[in-house]
Amino acid sequence: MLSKVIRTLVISIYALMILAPVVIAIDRLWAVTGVAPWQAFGLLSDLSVADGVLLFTCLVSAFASLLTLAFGLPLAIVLAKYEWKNIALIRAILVLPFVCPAIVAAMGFLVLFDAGGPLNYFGIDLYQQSGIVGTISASLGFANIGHFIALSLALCWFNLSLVIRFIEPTLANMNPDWEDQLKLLPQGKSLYQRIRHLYAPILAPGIIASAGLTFVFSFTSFALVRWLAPSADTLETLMADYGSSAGIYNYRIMSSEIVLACSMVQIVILGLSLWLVSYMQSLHQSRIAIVAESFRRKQQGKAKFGHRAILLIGVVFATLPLLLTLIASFKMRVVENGKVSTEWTTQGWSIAWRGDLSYAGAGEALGYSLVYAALTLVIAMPLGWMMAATIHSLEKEGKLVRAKIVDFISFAPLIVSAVMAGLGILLGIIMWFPELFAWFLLPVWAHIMMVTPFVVRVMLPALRSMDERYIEQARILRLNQFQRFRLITLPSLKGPVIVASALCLAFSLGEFGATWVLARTGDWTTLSVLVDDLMSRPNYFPGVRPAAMASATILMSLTLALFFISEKFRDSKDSGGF
Amino acid sequence: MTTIFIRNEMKNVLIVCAVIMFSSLSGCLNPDEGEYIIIDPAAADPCKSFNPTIRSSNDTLRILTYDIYALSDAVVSEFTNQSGYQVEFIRTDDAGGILDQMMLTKDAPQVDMMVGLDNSYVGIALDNCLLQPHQVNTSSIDTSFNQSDFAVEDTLVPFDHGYVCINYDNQFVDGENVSIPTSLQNFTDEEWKGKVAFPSAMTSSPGRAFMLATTDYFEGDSEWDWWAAMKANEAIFTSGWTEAYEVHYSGGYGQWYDGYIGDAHATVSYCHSPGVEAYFGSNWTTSVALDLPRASFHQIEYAGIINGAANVDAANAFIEYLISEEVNQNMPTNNYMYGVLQGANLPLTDGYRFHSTVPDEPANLNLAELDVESLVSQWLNAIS
Repeated sequence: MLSKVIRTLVISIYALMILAPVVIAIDRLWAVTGVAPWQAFGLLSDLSVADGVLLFTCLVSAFASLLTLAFGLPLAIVLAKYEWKNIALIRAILVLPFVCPAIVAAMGFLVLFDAGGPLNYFGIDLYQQSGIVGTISASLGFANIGHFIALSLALCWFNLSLVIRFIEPTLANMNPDWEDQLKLLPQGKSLYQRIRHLYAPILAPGIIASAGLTFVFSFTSFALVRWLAPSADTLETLMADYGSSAGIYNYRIMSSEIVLACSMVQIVILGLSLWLVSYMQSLHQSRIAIVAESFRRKQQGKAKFGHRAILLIGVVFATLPLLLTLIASFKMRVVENGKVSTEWTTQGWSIAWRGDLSYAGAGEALGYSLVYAALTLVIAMPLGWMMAATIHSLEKEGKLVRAKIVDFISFAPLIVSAVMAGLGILLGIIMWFPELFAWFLLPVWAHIMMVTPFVVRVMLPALRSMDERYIEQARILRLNQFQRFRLITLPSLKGPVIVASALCLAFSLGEFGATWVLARTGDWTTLSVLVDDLMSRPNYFPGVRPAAMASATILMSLTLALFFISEKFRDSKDSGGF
Repeated sequence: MTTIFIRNEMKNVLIVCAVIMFSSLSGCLNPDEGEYIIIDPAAADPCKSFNPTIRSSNDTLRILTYDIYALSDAVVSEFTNQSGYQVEFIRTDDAGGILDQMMLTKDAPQVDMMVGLDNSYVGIALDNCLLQPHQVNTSSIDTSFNQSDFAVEDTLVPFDHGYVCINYDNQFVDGENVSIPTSLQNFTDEEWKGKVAFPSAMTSSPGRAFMLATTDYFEGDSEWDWWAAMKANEAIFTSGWTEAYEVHYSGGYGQWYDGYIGDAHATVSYCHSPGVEAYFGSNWTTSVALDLPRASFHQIEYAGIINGAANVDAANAFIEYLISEEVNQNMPTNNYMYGVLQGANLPLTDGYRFHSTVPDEPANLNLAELDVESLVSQWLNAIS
C-alpha cells in the first residue's frame, strides 16, 4: 500500500510534468487573446480560416470509426470462433498497425494510393479522382473526396487492433451453448433476434469503447492528415500551422485565438469521448467477467473458405502498407528522353544514411530517436507505474471515487493532442525558461507526456490481477519493502512491465506531432521528423522518395521488433488494453 | 466523497497546480511589469530602451533560418574551417517562422543571427528592435539593393532575391481555347473557375508577397474586391506554397508528389520557378511566369544579427561568408534564388535562365511604411 505522502507526491509530479505545460500554455493564450478558455469555443465559428475544419475533423473521425468497425468486427468474429494455426502470430499481425509510427503508416498508404500503386491498378484513383472516385465526388458534390477516403482508410488501418483487442477475447470466451440454447427460445429464432438478445448486450460496450477510442485517435491524428489529405485541415493540422506564431503578445493575435479555440474544442470533445470510452470499458470488463465464468474456449470447428478469405484480407490489409514502404525504398524514378521508368536500387538507403537530401543522416536521426526513447522509458515507466499503483492502492482501500478521479487524471493527457503537447512545452516551458530553447533533450518531455498514460493503462490491470497473498506471506516472513518488490512484485509483473516498456519505447520512437512542433526550436532530428523532412524536399530529386521510405523502414523495423517482444509477454487474457 | 477527497489527498496537488497557474497568470496579465516591453515607435530611438537578456554562450554560432538549401553541411563545414566558429542551426518552416521565433524569444534571444527573413516581414522585426547593427563589408553587393525599401544599411544584408508572380500551365493556357491572361481580372472569368491556387497571405511567404503586389496592381482601390471575386470564382486557398504548387498546380513538379491533385492551372510562385522546372527537367517545362505590370513582388531575403546576440563576431563572419563569391554565386543552384552580387544571374544550363522571367515592372511598394499585418487582415476578410 502506498502512503498518503507518496500518493500525493506521485500525483503532484504527474500533474506537474504531464498537465502543467498545457495548463500554462492555455493560460498564456488566454492572456494574449483576452479570451477566457470557456469563451474560446465561439471563436472557432468566427475565424474564417477555421471554416469547416471542425466539421471535417468530426466527419472523418466518425467515418473512420465506422469503417474500423466494418473491417474489424468480421475479423474479430472469425478469429474468435474458429480454430487457427499460429493464432498468436495472426493476432499479432492484425494488431501490429497500432504501434506502427503514424509517419510510417502515412508513407505506406502513399505508396498504396500512388499513381502506379496497387489501388490505382484496380482503377481507384484517390488523388486525381478519375474513374469511380471522380463519379462519387461529382455526385456527392464533395471536393477532394479521394483525400477523405484515403485518410479514413489509413485511420481504419491504424485503429483496427482496438476492435480486435476488445471484441475477440469476449467472443472467444463465450460459451457457444448459449447461442444454441437461445435458438430453442422464441426470442432467439432469427439471427437478428440472437444478435439483439445475446451478442449485442455482451459486445456492445466493447464495440462502443473501441469505436470511441478510434474516434479519439483519429481526431488527433497529425501525420496521416498532413500526408494523406494535404488539401484538408483538421483541428490538429490547423493548430500546427498557426502554432509557431501563437502565444506572443501584440503579435498575430489571430494565431493565438486559433490555437486556443482548437485546443479547447479538442479537450471538450476528447474528454467526453474518453469519458464514454472509460464508462464502456468498465461495462466491458464486467461483461468479460460474466463470459469468463463459463470459460471454455470451444471453437466452432475449422474455418470455411469465407472465413479464411476474411482473415486473409485482414492480414494483407494489415501488412500491405508496411511491405509497400519497404519495397518503395528500393525503387527510384528514372526519366530518360521524357519517358519515366523505375530502377531498382539501394541508392535511397545510401542517400538517407548519408543525409544527402536532408540536414541529418538516418544514422544521426536514429541516434537521437534511441536516446529520446531510452530517456522516455526511464522516466515514463516508473511514473506510470507509480500512478497505476496509486489508483490501485485507493481502490484497495475502498476509496473508489478518489480512485476514479486519479484514473481520469491519468487519462487526461490523451485529451490533449500531440501537437498541443508540443505547443504546451513551447509556450508553457520555453516562455518561462528560454534557456531551454534548442536544448536537445526537450522532446523527451513531450514524449513522456504522450506515453505515460499508456504505461498506466497497461500496469493498472496487471496490478489489479496480482495475487496479494504472496505479498502478505512475504510480510510474515519479514521481508522488507525492497525485498518484497524484488522477489514478489517484480517477477509477478514481469510480463506487463516488458509490455509497457516496449510500448513506451515504440511510441516514443514513432512520436511525430509534438516532436515536429519542437523541431523548430533545435538542431536535432528524429527518424519520424527525418521522414517528414525528406518527403518535404522538392520532388525534382528522384532520391527523395526512396530515401524517405528507407528512413521509414528503419523506424518501422525498430518499432515492430519492440512490438513482437511485447506481444510475447502479453497475457493471453488481456483484453481492451493497448 | 469528492469533496472529502479534494480536502484530503488532492489538496497538496491542487496547491502546486494553483501556484503555477496564478504565478503565470500574474506575469501575463501585467506585461509591463513582467517580461514584455512594449516598444514605442514614436520615441526618438525606441530601440535604445530595449535591452534584451544576452544568453550565456558556449561560443557556438546559433543561426535561425528556414530550410535554406544553400546552407548545406559542406558550406557550413567550410565556414567552420575558415573561421573556427562552430555553427548550430534552428530551422523553422519558412520566413514567417523565423519572425515567429524571434518574437517568441524577443526578451531573451536564444540565437545569434537570422538568415532568410524577407522584405515582407522585415519591417516587423525592425519595429520590434529585433536586430542590431552589423559590421559587414557589403561593397560586393549589387548597388541596386541600396534603392530597395530596406536598403543595404546597418542592420540588414541581402543575400538572395527573386520575383513572386503568377505561374500558369501552358498546356491549359494553349492560346486557342484559353488565352493568356492580360489582366488579373481575367482570372475571375468562368474559364478559370476553381483553377487558380493561392498560398495563404497569412501563413506563406510567397502568398504574402503576391497579396502585397495586388495592392499596388489595383492601386489600393479594388484589390479586396478582386480577392473576393477570386474566392467567388472558387479559387483554391492553401496554407502553404507547397500545397498550392505541389498538390494543386498542374504545371510544376507536383506530378512526382504523393497526393498530387493537379486541379489548378495557375498558382503563385517565383517568376523563375519555370526556370527551375526546366533546370531539373532537362530543359522541358510547361510552366510559364505571367509578367503583368505591377502584379509581381520583388522579394529580397536578408541576413541580420539578433539584438541580444551572444556571438556577434561570429555572426558578422557568417554574413560575410554568405555574401562571399564562393557561396553566393551558387544561390541559383543551391537555393533556387538569384544571388545578390554585382552581375549575378541565373545559369544558362538546361534553360534555367531562358525559362525564368524578370518582370519589367514589379509592384512598387514602400514596405518600410506599409502596415503589412493590417493588409493581411483585410485580405483574410476579403476571402472569408
